[in-house]
Amino acid sequence: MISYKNLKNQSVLGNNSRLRNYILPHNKRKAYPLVDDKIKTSELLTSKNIPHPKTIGIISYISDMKTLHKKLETLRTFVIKPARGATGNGILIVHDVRWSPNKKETYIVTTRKEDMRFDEFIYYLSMILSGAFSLSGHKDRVLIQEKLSIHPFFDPISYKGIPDVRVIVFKGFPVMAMVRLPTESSGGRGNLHQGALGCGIDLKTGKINHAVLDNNHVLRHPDYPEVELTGLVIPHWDEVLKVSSMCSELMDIQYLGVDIVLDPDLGPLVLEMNARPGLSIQLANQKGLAKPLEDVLVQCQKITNIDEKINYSKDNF
Amino acid sequence: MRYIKYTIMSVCLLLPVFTLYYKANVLDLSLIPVKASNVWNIELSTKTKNIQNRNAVKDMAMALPVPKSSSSQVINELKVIHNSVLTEMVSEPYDPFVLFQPEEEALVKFEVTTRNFNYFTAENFDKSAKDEGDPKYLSLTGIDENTFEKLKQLSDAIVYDTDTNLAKLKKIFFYIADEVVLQPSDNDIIDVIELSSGDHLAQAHTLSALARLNGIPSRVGFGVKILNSDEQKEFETKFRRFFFVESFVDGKWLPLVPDERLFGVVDAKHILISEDSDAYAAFLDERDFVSIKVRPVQFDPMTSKEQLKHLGDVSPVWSLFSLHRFSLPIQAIFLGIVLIPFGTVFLSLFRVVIGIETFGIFMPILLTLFFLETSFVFGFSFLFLVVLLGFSQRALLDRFHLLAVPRLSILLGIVILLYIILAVFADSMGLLAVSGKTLNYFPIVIITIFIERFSIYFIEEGAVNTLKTTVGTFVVSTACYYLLSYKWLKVFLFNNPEVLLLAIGLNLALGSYKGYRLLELFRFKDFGKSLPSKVEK
Repeated sequence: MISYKNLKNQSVLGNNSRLRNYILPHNKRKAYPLVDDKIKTSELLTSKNIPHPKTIGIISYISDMKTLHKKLETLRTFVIKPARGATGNGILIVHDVRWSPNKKETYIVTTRKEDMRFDEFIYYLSMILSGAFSLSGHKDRVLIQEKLSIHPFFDPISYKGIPDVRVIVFKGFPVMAMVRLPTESSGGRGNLHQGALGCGIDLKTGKINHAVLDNNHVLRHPDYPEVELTGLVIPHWDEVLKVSSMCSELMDIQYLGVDIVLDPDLGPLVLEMNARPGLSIQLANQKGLAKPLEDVLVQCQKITNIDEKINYSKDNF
Repeated sequence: MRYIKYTIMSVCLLLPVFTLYYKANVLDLSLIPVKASNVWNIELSTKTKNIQNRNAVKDMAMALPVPKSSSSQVINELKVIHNSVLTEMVSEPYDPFVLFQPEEEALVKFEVTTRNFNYFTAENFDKSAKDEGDPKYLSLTGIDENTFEKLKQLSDAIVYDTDTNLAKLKKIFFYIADEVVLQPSDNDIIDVIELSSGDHLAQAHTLSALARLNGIPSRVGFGVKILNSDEQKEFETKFRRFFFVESFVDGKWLPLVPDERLFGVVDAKHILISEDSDAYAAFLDERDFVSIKVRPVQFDPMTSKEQLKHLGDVSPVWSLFSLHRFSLPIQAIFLGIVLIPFGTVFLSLFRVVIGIETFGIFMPILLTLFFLETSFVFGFSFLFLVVLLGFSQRALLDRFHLLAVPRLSILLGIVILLYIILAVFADSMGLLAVSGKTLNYFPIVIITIFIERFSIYFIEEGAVNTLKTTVGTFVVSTACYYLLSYKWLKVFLFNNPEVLLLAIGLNLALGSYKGYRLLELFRFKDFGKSLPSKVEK
């Protein structure tokens, strides 16, 4: 246990302060659907030319699925996402499809152990439409996106799944960043409380400086103990920061969590955004959020240019 | 904006304090219902001979000779509790009116609440005047000739040279009070006449017989006397049975207690059970036993009507806001909900200051109401089953590939079945009867909302987080349950509903709290400590 005073001295941001000082005053409620719905996010990113995974198709109604077999026939890999699913629920990654003109002989290879028959696949999509994975069970839509490949940088330090970089941006200033590495115990998922590894990143250099697993400091990935994590430099770091900063100017959400994946060919792509980013990032960095956020409130009066904001962050946070 | 908030907050926090001060010190009203030490509950328990069915019990209750009036206390309310098990029977060991045969079958428990009553009010006088004409209060049947002769001799010796009934009665009274010795073994009138000694009942009967002989209508009643602290030590009990005589003189009934030398006056410590012990004895003949238990009433016994009238006299303005104006069923609802805002303060405290996660925002409060509506044991065990169901349903229903709405509907069906099974079980165990609670639709509505929330949370957050949140929800709702069952607080708020503003003020304050949550101290416990030197696996 740590004392209140000690936490304050280390400028740790608590949940109450996060809500009362940052989320409530700086994030407009009206803008939330833009980040909570992956299809709306994707449309927004497209309109501002911010790189993100390409949308292959959208399914809004059960009737759309009649022609689905024909539409997808040319594809071998893609990702199925419920537009309003939370914390990665309902996402289905398709590695391969054995297409056949006969629907009954079409098999879909996913992360699951057994291959899916096409009718099972259709059933899965209708589950998404009926709201099985959406927040509060409302009707939902299905987003079909291209499958991303993993940047070779992550090959030696990530178990299955897709590692992503989370950047907290406040009023256009990148404030803190971490990379989330899935582990065997997290089942390939990227959430820290599910057992993923969180690595804090030095904003100036893009170097990993700390790693945390289940609230404990570690030096190495539990599944790949041969590689030391600290000191590794995230590729395309400057672009990552630039893309994150741009995202915070898209809408009236000024305290924003941006999740970025690195594609070997396309570079940083915005996977999704979060209007209520969590506080675990402080653990990964062993640094409090409160001080940089307060600093931004002062600096945002003087600095308006995105590049200057990024430079200020790199030098000061 | 900030100033507006602080203004509202101060008003909400200070206004109740001001009004309470004003009521207590300026209007001189009692805020917390006073413990009325001179007001008592009498429980009469009786087992009836040859009872055929339970339904007859209710009619019997009406046949109980409840006192219409008493010198000190008058019956306020008579309640019948069916088939209760007597846990404690308090009485004097030598009381002839009590026999202990504690068998449960067809046992009836009456709860009688008494309140203060002035013996000489006009209201009582009218009622008594009617009784006066009853010839049985002058009859001397049951006394044999020999005794009658001796009684007549004694009477002549006592009342000679006296003309008015009141004077005669006084002489008779003081003869019994001063000349007759208390002797528990002498229990007949003849003992009193010949030996000048007898027990309480024999003395009372002699007094009554002498009065009747002189044409003064009289009757023997009995009741319970609350003992003062010295007497309590002496008799090792808080109350004892006493017999007394009522005689009708000059247009009113006078209470006479010879062994305490009380003539015409009885104080509030004397509670009358029956004004006619002959009628009571007849009642006893039909029953195996009767036991009496007396305990002080906990709350202000004033009825709402009196309460409102009193308030109206003191302050017409405050009486406008009094919840006593409503009918009793509506009052019961207000009594039930008046603490909910303070339950939400508790909830806010748990979430904001401690950091416990719960399902939804008001789910814990709803669950608290569910516990209150059924009973804690029943509610909690039912909810436990529902949670088990919630966790196990995924394993089964996932295989059937069901759509979301029918799937939840199936869950609800199982929940209602569970509810029926548990209710039958609880009823056969007597759990529901003991708590005196009933079942209704309300809990099902709450559980419906709970199971929906629970399922969604399970899908979104996974089993571990759901378990954590479930425990958090249970903790908060249990804490709220104990707060909301705090009867005094409830009655206090019912009498002073403006104190609810305090809950709003406190929630405003909690809503403005920016500090760390208690559980964050554990979450960030190693924050800033030096990096690990040991390398893990």
